[in-house]
Amino acid sequence: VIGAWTTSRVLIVEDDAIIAYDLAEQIEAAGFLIAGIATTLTRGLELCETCDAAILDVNLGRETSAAIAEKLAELDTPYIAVSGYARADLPGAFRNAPLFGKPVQVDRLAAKLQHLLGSGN
Amino acid sequence: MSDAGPSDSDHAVALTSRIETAAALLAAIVASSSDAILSKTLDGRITSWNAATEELFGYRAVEIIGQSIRLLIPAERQAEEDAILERIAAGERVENYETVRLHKDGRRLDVLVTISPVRDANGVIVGASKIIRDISERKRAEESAALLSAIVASSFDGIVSKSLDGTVTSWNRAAEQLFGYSAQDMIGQPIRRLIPADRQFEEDDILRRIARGETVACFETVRLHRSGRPIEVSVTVSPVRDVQGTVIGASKIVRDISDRRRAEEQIRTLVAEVHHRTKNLLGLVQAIARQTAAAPAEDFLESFSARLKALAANQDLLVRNDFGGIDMADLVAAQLAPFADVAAARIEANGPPVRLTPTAAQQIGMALHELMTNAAKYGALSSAAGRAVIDWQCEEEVFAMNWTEYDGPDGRRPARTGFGTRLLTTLVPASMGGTGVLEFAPGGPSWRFRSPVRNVLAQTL
Repeated sequence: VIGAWTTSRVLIVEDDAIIAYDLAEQIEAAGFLIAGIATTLTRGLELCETCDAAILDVNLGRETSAAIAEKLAELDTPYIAVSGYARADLPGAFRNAPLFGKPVQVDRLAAKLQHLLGSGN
Repeated sequence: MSDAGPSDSDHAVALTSRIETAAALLAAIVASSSDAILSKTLDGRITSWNAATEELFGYRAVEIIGQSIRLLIPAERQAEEDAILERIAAGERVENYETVRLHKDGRRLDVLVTISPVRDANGVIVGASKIIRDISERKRAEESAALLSAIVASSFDGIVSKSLDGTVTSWNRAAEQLFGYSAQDMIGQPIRRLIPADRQFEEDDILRRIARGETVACFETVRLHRSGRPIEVSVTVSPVRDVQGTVIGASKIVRDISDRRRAEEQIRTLVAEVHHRTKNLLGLVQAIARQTAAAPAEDFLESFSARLKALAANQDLLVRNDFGGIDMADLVAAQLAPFADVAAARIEANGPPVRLTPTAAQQIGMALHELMTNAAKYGALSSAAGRAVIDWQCEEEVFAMNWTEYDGPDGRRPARTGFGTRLLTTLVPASMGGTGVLEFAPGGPSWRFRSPVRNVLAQTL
Protein backbone atom coordinates (compact mmCIF):
# COMPACT_ATOMS: atom_id res chain seq x y z
CA VAL A 1 0.00 0.00 0.00
CA ILE A 2 2.78 2.41 0.94
CA GLY A 3 4.60 1.79 -2.34
CA ALA A 4 2.01 3.78 -4.22
CA TRP A 5 3.49 7.08 -3.14
CA THR A 6 6.94 6.48 -1.63
CA THR A 7 8.66 7.55 -4.83
CA SER A 8 6.71 10.80 -4.98
CA ARG A 9 8.86 13.90 -4.63
CA VAL A 10 7.43 16.71 -2.48
CA LEU A 11 8.54 20.35 -2.72
CA ILE A 12 8.38 22.35 0.51
CA VAL A 13 8.13 26.13 0.27
CA GLU A 14 8.30 27.89 3.65
CA ASP A 15 10.19 31.08 4.49
CA ASP A 16 11.12 30.01 8.00
CA ALA A 17 13.92 27.49 7.55
CA ILE A 18 13.39 25.94 10.99
CA ILE A 19 9.76 25.14 10.17
CA ALA A 20 10.69 24.07 6.61
CA TYR A 21 13.35 21.56 7.65
CA ASP A 22 11.27 20.23 10.52
CA LEU A 23 8.35 19.71 8.12
CA ALA A 24 10.66 18.04 5.56
CA GLU A 25 11.85 15.57 8.22
CA GLN A 26 8.29 14.60 9.04
CA ILE A 27 7.20 14.33 5.40
CA GLU A 28 10.18 12.08 4.83
CA ALA A 29 9.27 10.04 7.86
CA ALA A 30 5.77 9.64 6.38
CA GLY A 31 7.29 7.93 3.36
CA PHE A 32 7.75 10.67 0.77
CA LEU A 33 10.89 11.92 -0.94
CA ILE A 34 11.82 15.60 -0.64
CA ALA A 35 12.19 17.33 -4.00
CA GLY A 36 13.65 20.37 -2.29
CA ILE A 37 13.18 23.01 0.35
CA ALA A 38 12.68 26.60 -0.81
CA THR A 39 12.63 29.55 1.62
CA THR A 40 12.19 32.11 -1.19
CA LEU A 41 9.87 32.61 -4.18
CA THR A 42 12.77 32.43 -6.67
CA ARG A 43 14.05 29.09 -5.33
CA GLY A 44 10.50 27.70 -5.22
CA LEU A 45 9.90 28.57 -8.90
CA GLU A 46 13.16 26.82 -9.83
CA LEU A 47 12.05 23.60 -8.15
CA CYS A 48 8.51 23.41 -9.60
CA GLU A 49 9.40 21.08 -12.45
CA THR A 50 11.21 18.50 -10.34
CA CYS A 51 8.38 17.72 -7.91
CA ASP A 52 5.22 15.58 -7.98
CA ALA A 53 3.41 17.64 -5.29
CA ALA A 54 4.09 20.75 -3.22
CA ILE A 55 3.36 22.19 0.21
CA LEU A 56 3.24 25.97 -0.08
CA ASP A 57 3.40 28.42 2.80
CA VAL A 58 1.38 31.27 1.31
CA ASN A 59 3.18 34.16 2.98
CA LEU A 60 6.94 34.36 2.37
CA GLY A 61 7.95 37.47 4.31
CA ARG A 62 7.72 40.32 1.81
CA GLU A 63 6.38 38.09 -1.02
CA THR A 64 3.76 35.33 -1.46
CA SER A 65 4.01 31.93 -3.10
CA ALA A 66 1.07 32.67 -5.46
CA ALA A 67 3.34 32.61 -8.54
CA ILE A 68 4.54 29.12 -7.56
CA ALA A 69 0.93 27.95 -7.20
CA GLU A 70 0.10 29.32 -10.67
CA LYS A 71 3.11 27.58 -12.22
CA LEU A 72 2.22 24.28 -10.50
CA ALA A 73 -1.37 24.58 -11.73
CA GLU A 74 -0.07 24.97 -15.30
CA LEU A 75 2.09 21.87 -14.81
CA ASP A 76 -0.92 20.04 -13.38
CA THR A 77 1.07 19.36 -10.21
CA PRO A 78 -1.08 19.19 -7.05
CA TYR A 79 -0.30 21.55 -4.16
CA ILE A 80 -1.47 22.22 -0.62
CA ALA A 81 -1.63 25.70 0.92
CA VAL A 82 -0.42 26.34 4.47
CA SER A 83 -1.26 29.68 6.07
CA GLY A 84 -2.07 31.53 9.26
CA TYR A 85 -4.61 33.55 7.26
CA ALA A 86 -8.21 32.61 6.51
CA ARG A 87 -9.04 31.35 3.02
CA ALA A 88 -10.89 34.55 2.09
CA ASP A 89 -7.69 36.56 2.62
CA LEU A 90 -5.55 34.34 0.34
CA PRO A 91 -4.47 35.12 -3.25
CA GLY A 92 -6.75 33.67 -5.97
CA ALA A 93 -4.36 30.83 -6.86
CA PHE A 94 -5.11 29.24 -3.45
CA ARG A 95 -8.91 29.59 -3.51
CA ASN A 96 -9.47 25.98 -4.60
CA ALA A 97 -6.41 24.35 -3.06
CA PRO A 98 -6.62 22.28 0.16
CA LEU A 99 -5.76 24.65 3.04
CA PHE A 100 -4.01 23.77 6.30
CA GLY A 101 -3.77 26.26 9.17
CA LYS A 102 -0.65 26.78 11.23
CA PRO A 103 0.69 25.02 13.19
CA VAL A 104 0.35 22.13 10.74
CA GLN A 105 -0.93 18.71 11.77
CA VAL A 106 1.51 16.66 9.74
CA ASP A 107 -0.35 13.30 9.80
CA ARG A 108 -3.38 14.91 8.18
CA LEU A 109 -1.16 16.80 5.75
CA ALA A 110 0.53 13.53 4.72
CA ALA A 111 -2.85 11.85 4.25
CA LYS A 112 -3.97 14.71 1.99
CA LEU A 113 -0.74 14.43 -0.04
CA GLN A 114 -1.33 10.70 -0.47
CA HIS A 115 -4.88 11.39 -1.62
CA LEU A 116 -3.83 14.06 -4.14
CA LEU A 117 -1.05 11.89 -5.59
CA GLY A 118 -3.29 8.82 -5.68
CA SER A 119 -6.11 10.50 -7.56
CA GLY A 120 -3.67 12.18 -9.93
CA ASN A 121 -2.24 8.85 -11.15
CA MET B 1 -101.83 112.65 26.01
CA SER B 2 -99.55 114.61 28.27
CA ASP B 3 -96.19 115.57 26.97
CA ALA B 4 -94.73 116.12 30.41
CA GLY B 5 -91.29 114.34 30.72
CA PRO B 6 -89.55 113.04 33.84
CA SER B 7 -88.85 115.60 36.53
CA ASP B 8 -85.31 116.82 37.37
CA SER B 9 -85.29 114.75 40.49
CA ASP B 10 -86.25 111.72 38.45
CA HIS B 11 -83.27 112.51 36.20
CA ALA B 12 -80.91 112.70 39.13
CA VAL B 13 -82.08 109.37 40.54
CA ALA B 14 -81.79 107.69 37.16
CA LEU B 15 -78.32 109.18 36.62
CA THR B 16 -77.15 108.08 40.04
CA SER B 17 -78.53 104.67 39.42
CA ARG B 18 -76.75 104.44 36.03
CA ILE B 19 -73.48 105.63 37.51
CA GLU B 20 -73.81 103.12 40.31
CA THR B 21 -74.57 100.37 37.81
CA ALA B 22 -71.57 101.36 35.68
CA ALA B 23 -69.29 101.53 38.76
CA ALA B 24 -70.48 98.11 39.92
CA LEU B 25 -69.87 96.75 36.43
CA LEU B 26 -66.33 98.18 36.33
CA ALA B 27 -65.64 96.83 39.80
CA ALA B 28 -66.82 93.39 38.70
CA ILE B 29 -64.62 93.56 35.58
CA VAL B 30 -61.58 94.54 37.64
CA ALA B 31 -62.30 91.93 40.27
CA SER B 32 -62.61 89.13 37.75
CA SER B 33 -59.77 90.26 35.45
CA SER B 34 -57.01 87.73 34.99
CA ASP B 35 -54.52 90.65 34.85
CA ALA B 36 -53.42 92.06 38.16
CA ILE B 37 -54.95 95.51 38.61
CA LEU B 38 -54.22 97.83 41.48
CA SER B 39 -54.40 101.52 42.23
CA LYS B 40 -52.27 103.81 44.36
CA THR B 41 -52.11 107.36 45.48
CA LEU B 42 -49.55 109.82 44.15
CA ASP B 43 -47.33 109.18 47.19
CA GLY B 44 -47.42 105.47 46.48
CA ARG B 45 -49.99 104.16 48.95
CA ILE B 46 -52.01 101.19 47.66
CA THR B 47 -55.74 101.91 47.42
CA SER B 48 -57.10 98.83 45.60
CA TRP B 49 -55.84 95.27 44.90
CA ASN B 50 -57.80 92.76 42.84
CA ALA B 51 -57.90 88.95 43.10
CA ALA B 52 -55.38 88.44 40.30
CA THR B 53 -52.95 90.74 42.15
CA GLU B 54 -53.40 88.67 45.30
CA GLU B 55 -52.57 85.62 43.22
CA LEU B 56 -49.52 87.24 41.58
CA PHE B 57 -47.85 88.78 44.65
CA GLY B 58 -49.14 86.54 47.45
CA TYR B 59 -50.49 89.43 49.55
CA ARG B 60 -54.22 89.52 50.50
CA ALA B 61 -55.98 92.82 49.74
CA VAL B 62 -56.70 93.34 53.44
CA GLU B 63 -53.07 93.12 54.44
CA ILE B 64 -51.66 95.36 51.69
CA ILE B 65 -54.17 98.14 51.11
CA GLY B 66 -52.78 101.26 52.77
CA GLN B 67 -49.20 99.97 52.53
CA SER B 68 -46.56 101.49 50.26
CA ILE B 69 -46.23 100.12 46.72
CA ARG B 70 -42.44 100.13 47.36
CA LEU B 71 -42.90 96.87 49.31
CA LEU B 72 -43.08 95.19 45.88
CA ILE B 73 -40.02 96.86 44.43
CA PRO B 74 -36.50 95.36 44.75
CA ALA B 75 -33.96 97.62 46.48
CA GLU B 76 -31.94 98.28 43.32
CA ARG B 77 -35.07 99.39 41.43
CA GLN B 78 -36.54 101.85 43.96
CA ALA B 79 -35.48 104.77 41.74
CA GLU B 80 -37.81 103.47 39.03
CA GLU B 81 -40.80 104.29 41.23
CA ASP B 82 -39.65 107.90 41.66
CA ALA B 83 -39.44 108.30 37.88
CA ILE B 84 -42.84 106.62 37.34
CA LEU B 85 -44.59 108.81 39.94
CA GLU B 86 -43.07 111.90 38.36
CA ARG B 87 -44.41 110.95 34.91
CA ILE B 88 -47.86 110.09 36.30
CA ALA B 89 -48.02 113.45 38.13
CA ALA B 90 -47.24 115.11 34.79
CA GLY B 91 -50.25 113.30 33.30
CA GLU B 92 -48.27 110.76 31.28
CA ARG B 93 -49.06 107.11 30.78
CA VAL B 94 -46.31 104.48 31.18
CA GLU B 95 -47.04 101.64 28.80
CA ASN B 96 -45.73 98.04 28.71
CA TYR B 97 -42.79 98.71 30.95
CA GLU B 98 -40.72 95.53 31.56
CA THR B 99 -39.34 95.23 35.07
CA VAL B 100 -38.90 93.00 38.12
CA ARG B 101 -41.10 92.95 41.23
CA LEU B 102 -41.04 90.97 44.47
CA HIS B 103 -43.46 88.26 45.58
CA LYS B 104 -44.39 88.17 49.27
CA ASP B 105 -42.04 85.18 49.69
CA GLY B 106 -39.11 87.13 48.20
CA ARG B 107 -39.21 85.50 44.74
CA ARG B 108 -38.41 87.85 41.86
CA LEU B 109 -41.11 88.13 39.22
CA ASP B 110 -40.59 89.27 35.64
CA VAL B 111 -43.53 91.62 34.93
CA LEU B 112 -44.89 93.95 32.29
CA VAL B 113 -46.68 97.02 33.75
CA THR B 114 -48.91 99.71 32.30
CA ILE B 115 -49.56 102.71 34.58
CA SER B 116 -52.16 105.41 33.93
CA PRO B 117 -53.01 108.56 35.89
CA VAL B 118 -56.35 108.55 37.74
CA ARG B 119 -58.17 111.91 37.80
CA ASP B 120 -61.03 113.14 40.01
CA ALA B 121 -64.23 114.72 38.71
CA ASN B 122 -62.35 117.99 38.21
CA GLY B 123 -59.61 116.42 36.17
CA VAL B 124 -57.03 116.66 38.94
CA ILE B 125 -54.61 113.71 39.06
CA VAL B 126 -55.09 111.96 42.38
CA GLY B 127 -53.41 108.63 41.82
CA ALA B 128 -52.49 105.90 39.37
CA SER B 129 -53.91 102.62 38.16
CA LYS B 130 -51.54 99.78 37.37
CA ILE B 131 -52.10 96.72 35.22
CA ILE B 132 -49.44 94.11 35.82
CA ARG B 133 -48.82 91.04 33.70
CA ASP B 134 -46.59 88.12 34.81
CA ILE B 135 -44.10 87.41 32.02
CA SER B 136 -41.83 84.98 33.94
CA GLU B 137 -43.10 82.15 31.77
CA ARG B 138 -42.34 84.03 28.55
CA LYS B 139 -38.93 85.08 29.92
CA ARG B 140 -38.07 81.50 30.76
CA ALA B 141 -39.17 80.35 27.32
CA GLU B 142 -37.06 83.08 25.72
CA GLU B 143 -34.04 82.12 27.81
CA SER B 144 -34.37 78.44 27.09
CA ALA B 145 -34.87 79.13 23.38
CA ALA B 146 -31.69 81.24 23.41
CA LEU B 147 -29.85 78.50 25.30
CA LEU B 148 -31.02 75.82 22.88
CA SER B 149 -30.06 77.84 19.85
CA ALA B 150 -26.61 78.48 21.38
CA ILE B 151 -26.21 74.73 21.95
CA VAL B 152 -27.26 73.93 18.40
CA ALA B 153 -24.99 76.62 16.97
CA SER B 154 -21.94 75.43 18.92
CA SER B 155 -22.55 71.67 18.53
CA PHE B 156 -19.89 69.57 16.78
CA ASP B 157 -22.70 67.47 15.33
CA GLY B 158 -24.54 68.69 12.28
CA ILE B 159 -28.08 69.65 13.43
CA VAL B 160 -30.66 70.44 10.79
CA SER B 161 -34.42 70.48 10.56
CA LYS B 162 -36.72 69.80 7.66
CA SER B 163 -40.40 69.90 6.87
CA LEU B 164 -42.40 66.75 6.20
CA ASP B 165 -41.82 67.08 2.46
CA GLY B 166 -38.06 67.09 3.08
CA THR B 167 -37.37 70.83 2.68
CA VAL B 168 -34.54 72.10 4.90
CA THR B 169 -35.73 74.63 7.49
CA SER B 170 -32.59 75.08 9.61
CA TRP B 171 -28.91 74.29 9.20
CA ASN B 172 -26.26 74.79 11.92
CA ARG B 173 -22.56 75.64 11.66
CA ALA B 174 -21.39 72.03 12.08
CA ALA B 175 -23.67 71.02 9.19
CA GLU B 176 -22.03 73.74 7.09
CA GLN B 177 -18.61 72.27 7.83
CA LEU B 178 -19.69 68.66 7.39
CA PHE B 179 -21.46 69.06 4.05
CA GLY B 180 -19.75 72.17 2.63
CA TYR B 181 -23.06 74.01 2.09
CA SER B 182 -23.85 77.25 3.99
CA ALA B 183 -27.21 77.70 5.76
CA GLN B 184 -28.11 80.14 2.98
CA ASP B 185 -27.35 77.44 0.36
CA MET B 186 -29.54 74.86 2.04
CA ILE B 187 -32.53 76.48 3.74
CA GLY B 188 -35.53 76.03 1.47
CA GLN B 189 -33.73 73.32 -0.54
CA PRO B 190 -34.61 69.60 -0.60
CA ILE B 191 -32.57 67.50 1.85
CA ARG B 192 -32.36 64.85 -0.89
CA ARG B 193 -29.50 66.68 -2.56
CA LEU B 194 -27.28 65.23 0.23
CA ILE B 195 -28.38 61.67 -0.46
CA PRO B 196 -26.59 59.46 -3.02
CA ALA B 197 -28.79 58.22 -5.89
CA ASP B 198 -28.66 54.61 -4.69
CA ARG B 199 -29.83 55.61 -1.19
CA GLN B 200 -32.79 57.85 -2.01
CA PHE B 201 -35.14 55.12 -0.80
CA GLU B 202 -33.79 55.65 2.73
CA GLU B 203 -35.34 59.14 2.79
CA ASP B 204 -38.76 57.72 1.77
CA ASP B 205 -38.56 55.30 4.66
CA ILE B 206 -37.36 57.95 7.15
CA LEU B 207 -40.13 60.40 6.18
CA ARG B 208 -42.76 57.64 6.53
CA ARG B 209 -41.51 56.76 10.00
CA ILE B 210 -41.31 60.43 11.08
CA ALA B 211 -44.89 61.04 9.91
CA ARG B 212 -45.94 58.15 12.19
CA GLY B 213 -44.15 59.91 15.07
CA GLU B 214 -41.23 57.45 15.26
CA THR B 215 -37.59 58.34 15.92
CA VAL B 216 -34.85 56.88 13.72
CA ALA B 217 -31.83 56.53 16.01
CA CYS B 218 -28.14 56.20 15.07
CA PHE B 219 -28.78 55.14 11.52
CA GLU B 220 -25.39 54.60 9.81
CA THR B 221 -25.28 55.57 6.18
CA VAL B 222 -23.49 57.59 3.52
CA ARG B 223 -24.24 61.20 2.53
CA LEU B 224 -22.66 63.50 -0.03
CA HIS B 225 -20.41 66.49 0.54
CA ARG B 226 -20.94 69.48 -1.75
CA SER B 227 -17.85 68.32 -3.68
CA GLY B 228 -19.51 64.95 -4.35
CA ARG B 229 -17.24 63.15 -1.89
CA PRO B 230 -19.15 60.49 0.11
CA ILE B 231 -19.15 60.94 3.91
CA GLU B 232 -19.80 58.10 6.37
CA VAL B 233 -22.36 59.41 8.88
CA SER B 234 -24.54 58.35 11.77
CA VAL B 235 -27.96 60.03 11.63
CA THR B 236 -30.66 60.39 14.31
CA VAL B 237 -33.97 61.78 13.06
CA SER B 238 -36.77 62.80 15.46
CA PRO B 239 -40.24 64.18 14.75
CA VAL B 240 -40.90 67.86 15.57
CA ARG B 241 -44.45 68.57 16.81
CA ASP B 242 -46.49 71.75 17.14
CA VAL B 243 -48.31 72.66 20.41
CA GLN B 244 -51.26 70.48 19.41
CA GLY B 245 -48.91 67.50 19.08
CA THR B 246 -49.14 67.24 15.30
CA VAL B 247 -45.91 66.19 13.56
CA ILE B 248 -44.85 69.15 11.41
CA GLY B 249 -41.30 68.21 10.51
CA ALA B 250 -38.13 66.49 11.68
CA SER B 251 -34.87 67.35 13.39
CA LYS B 252 -31.77 65.56 12.21
CA ILE B 253 -28.50 65.10 14.09
CA VAL B 254 -25.69 64.05 11.78
CA ARG B 255 -22.31 62.82 12.99
CA ASP B 256 -19.26 62.24 10.80
CA ILE B 257 -18.03 58.69 11.53
CA SER B 258 -15.30 58.49 8.84
CA ASP B 259 -12.56 58.56 11.50
CA ARG B 260 -14.24 55.79 13.47
CA ARG B 261 -14.66 53.71 10.30
CA ARG B 262 -10.97 54.17 9.45
CA ALA B 263 -9.95 53.17 13.00
CA GLU B 264 -12.20 50.08 12.82
CA GLU B 265 -10.61 49.10 9.51
CA GLN B 266 -7.11 49.52 11.01
CA ILE B 267 -8.04 47.37 13.99
CA ARG B 268 -9.41 44.62 11.71
CA THR B 269 -6.17 44.64 9.69
CA LEU B 270 -4.08 44.62 12.83
CA VAL B 271 -6.02 41.74 14.38
CA ALA B 272 -5.66 39.69 11.17
CA GLU B 273 -1.92 40.44 11.15
CA VAL B 274 -1.46 39.51 14.82
CA HIS B 275 -3.45 36.33 14.21
CA HIS B 276 -1.22 35.38 11.29
CA ARG B 277 1.99 36.09 13.20
CA THR B 278 0.75 34.14 16.21
CA LYS B 279 -0.01 31.12 14.06
CA ASN B 280 3.45 31.35 12.47
CA LEU B 281 5.08 31.65 15.85
CA LEU B 282 3.21 28.58 17.10
CA GLY B 283 4.42 26.68 14.02
CA LEU B 284 7.96 27.75 14.86
CA VAL B 285 7.60 26.74 18.52
CA GLN B 286 6.28 23.35 17.40
CA ALA B 287 9.30 22.86 15.11
CA ILE B 288 11.76 23.97 17.80
CA ALA B 289 10.15 21.64 20.35
CA ARG B 290 10.39 18.66 18.00
CA GLN B 291 13.96 19.47 16.97
CA THR B 292 15.09 20.01 20.56
CA ALA B 293 13.52 16.72 21.63
CA ALA B 294 15.24 14.88 18.75
CA ALA B 295 18.72 15.53 20.20
CA PRO B 296 19.02 13.00 23.05
CA ALA B 297 22.17 14.56 24.53
CA GLU B 298 20.36 17.74 25.51
CA ASP B 299 18.29 18.34 28.60
CA PHE B 300 15.01 18.95 26.77
CA LEU B 301 13.25 21.30 29.19
CA GLU B 302 16.29 23.47 29.85
CA SER B 303 17.23 23.84 26.17
CA PHE B 304 13.65 24.29 25.01
CA SER B 305 12.88 27.00 27.61
CA ALA B 306 16.09 28.85 26.78
CA ARG B 307 15.22 28.78 23.06
CA LEU B 308 11.70 30.03 23.79
CA LYS B 309 13.18 32.87 25.84
CA ALA B 310 15.47 33.79 22.94
CA LEU B 311 12.44 33.77 20.65
CA ALA B 312 10.53 35.97 23.11
CA ALA B 313 13.43 38.45 23.30
CA ASN B 314 13.37 38.71 19.48
CA GLN B 315 9.61 39.18 19.58
CA ASP B 316 9.98 42.05 22.09
CA LEU B 317 12.40 43.80 19.75
CA LEU B 318 10.11 43.29 16.75
CA VAL B 319 7.10 44.72 18.55
CA ARG B 320 9.11 47.63 19.91
CA ASN B 321 10.18 48.45 16.34
CA ASP B 322 6.66 47.98 14.88
CA PHE B 323 7.90 44.98 12.88
CA GLY B 324 10.21 47.31 10.95
CA GLY B 325 14.00 47.29 10.89
CA ILE B 326 15.90 46.02 13.94
CA ASP B 327 19.25 47.55 14.87
CA MET B 328 21.98 44.89 14.93
CA ALA B 329 23.48 46.27 18.18
CA ASP B 330 20.03 46.09 19.86
CA LEU B 331 19.67 42.48 18.74
CA VAL B 332 23.08 41.56 20.19
CA ALA B 333 22.19 43.31 23.47
CA ALA B 334 18.81 41.53 23.67
CA GLN B 335 20.34 38.08 23.16
CA LEU B 336 23.19 38.91 25.53
CA ALA B 337 20.86 39.89 28.38
CA PRO B 338 20.30 36.36 29.81
CA PHE B 339 24.12 35.92 30.00
CA ALA B 340 24.78 39.36 31.47
CA ASP B 341 25.87 38.05 34.87
CA VAL B 342 28.49 35.66 33.49
CA ALA B 343 29.60 37.22 30.27
CA ALA B 344 28.65 40.83 29.60
CA ALA B 345 32.14 42.17 30.07
CA ARG B 346 33.69 39.37 28.06
CA ILE B 347 31.66 39.71 24.88
CA GLU B 348 32.71 42.47 22.52
CA ALA B 349 30.50 43.65 19.69
CA ASN B 350 31.89 45.68 16.77
CA GLY B 351 30.14 46.83 13.64
CA PRO B 352 28.52 49.72 11.82
CA PRO B 353 24.88 50.60 12.57
CA VAL B 354 22.76 48.35 10.33
CA ARG B 355 19.04 47.60 10.35
CA LEU B 356 17.99 43.99 9.86
CA THR B 357 14.73 42.77 8.33
CA PRO B 358 12.35 41.14 10.86
CA THR B 359 13.14 37.68 9.36
CA ALA B 360 16.91 38.23 9.48
CA ALA B 361 16.66 39.57 13.04
CA GLN B 362 14.74 36.48 14.12
CA GLN B 363 17.23 34.10 12.48
CA ILE B 364 20.42 35.90 13.58
CA GLY B 365 18.91 36.22 17.06
CA MET B 366 18.42 32.44 17.19
CA ALA B 367 22.01 31.91 15.97
CA LEU B 368 23.41 34.28 18.63
CA HIS B 369 21.42 32.43 21.30
CA GLU B 370 22.90 29.08 20.23
CA LEU B 371 26.45 30.48 20.10
CA MET B 372 26.20 32.12 23.55
CA THR B 373 24.57 29.07 25.14
CA ASN B 374 27.24 26.81 23.75
CA ALA B 375 30.04 29.20 24.80
CA ALA B 376 28.67 29.40 28.34
CA LYS B 377 28.38 25.61 28.63
CA TYR B 378 31.46 24.31 26.83
CA GLY B 379 33.31 27.22 25.20
CA ALA B 380 35.21 30.37 26.02
CA LEU B 381 32.60 31.68 28.44
CA SER B 382 32.83 28.51 30.54
CA SER B 383 36.38 29.40 31.64
CA ALA B 384 37.47 32.49 33.56
CA ALA B 385 39.92 33.74 30.93
CA GLY B 386 37.81 33.20 27.81
CA ARG B 387 36.11 35.90 25.76
CA ALA B 388 34.17 36.26 22.53
CA VAL B 389 34.00 38.85 19.75
CA ILE B 390 31.03 39.52 17.49
CA ASP B 391 31.76 41.64 14.42
CA TRP B 392 29.85 42.49 11.29
CA GLN B 393 30.20 44.59 8.14
CA CYS B 394 28.81 44.95 4.64
CA GLU B 395 31.27 44.52 1.76
CA GLU B 396 30.24 44.55 -1.90
CA GLU B 397 26.63 43.48 -1.34
CA VAL B 398 27.64 40.77 1.14
CA PHE B 399 26.67 40.94 4.79
CA ALA B 400 29.47 39.29 6.79
CA MET B 401 29.15 38.42 10.44
CA ASN B 402 31.62 36.53 12.63
CA TRP B 403 31.54 35.07 16.08
CA THR B 404 35.01 34.24 17.41
CA GLU B 405 35.93 32.73 20.79
CA TYR B 406 39.39 33.29 22.34
CA ASP B 407 41.27 31.72 25.23
CA GLY B 408 38.67 29.09 25.94
CA PRO B 409 39.17 25.39 26.60
CA ASP B 410 40.42 23.57 23.51
CA GLY B 411 37.72 23.64 20.91
CA ARG B 412 36.48 20.18 20.05
CA ARG B 413 33.93 19.38 17.39
CA PRO B 414 30.97 17.84 19.22
CA ALA B 415 30.57 14.14 18.50
CA ARG B 416 26.86 14.51 17.69
CA THR B 417 25.41 17.17 15.41
CA GLY B 418 22.62 18.66 17.49
CA PHE B 419 19.86 21.10 16.58
CA GLY B 420 22.09 24.05 17.60
CA THR B 421 24.77 23.04 15.10
CA ARG B 422 22.13 22.49 12.42
CA LEU B 423 20.69 25.93 13.07
CA LEU B 424 24.11 27.55 12.59
CA THR B 425 25.25 25.58 9.55
CA THR B 426 22.01 24.99 7.68
CA LEU B 427 18.77 26.56 8.91
CA VAL B 428 19.79 30.14 9.69
CA PRO B 429 21.91 30.51 6.50
CA ALA B 430 19.16 28.93 4.36
CA SER B 431 16.61 31.45 5.65
CA MET B 432 18.69 34.26 4.14
CA GLY B 433 20.16 32.43 1.13
CA GLY B 434 23.60 32.53 2.75
CA THR B 435 26.28 30.27 4.20
CA GLY B 436 27.30 29.47 7.78
CA VAL B 437 30.59 27.82 8.65
CA LEU B 438 31.36 26.51 12.12
CA GLU B 439 35.08 25.94 12.84
CA PHE B 440 36.87 24.56 15.83
CA ALA B 441 40.26 26.25 16.50
CA PRO B 442 42.42 25.64 19.63
CA GLY B 443 41.16 28.86 21.37
CA GLY B 444 37.49 28.02 20.82
CA PRO B 445 34.90 27.69 18.04
CA SER B 446 34.07 30.39 15.49
CA TRP B 447 31.11 30.95 13.18
CA ARG B 448 31.41 32.76 9.84
CA PHE B 449 28.10 33.86 8.32
CA ARG B 450 27.85 35.36 4.81
CA SER B 451 24.64 36.38 3.02
CA PRO B 452 23.51 38.79 0.27
CA VAL B 453 22.87 42.22 1.84
CA ARG B 454 19.39 42.42 0.24
CA ASN B 455 18.28 39.31 2.18
CA VAL B 456 19.49 40.65 5.53
CA LEU B 457 19.09 44.41 5.72
CA ALA B 458 15.86 46.38 5.81
CA GLN B 459 15.53 48.90 3.01
CA THR B 460 16.71 52.26 4.29
CA LEU B 461 15.07 55.45 3.15
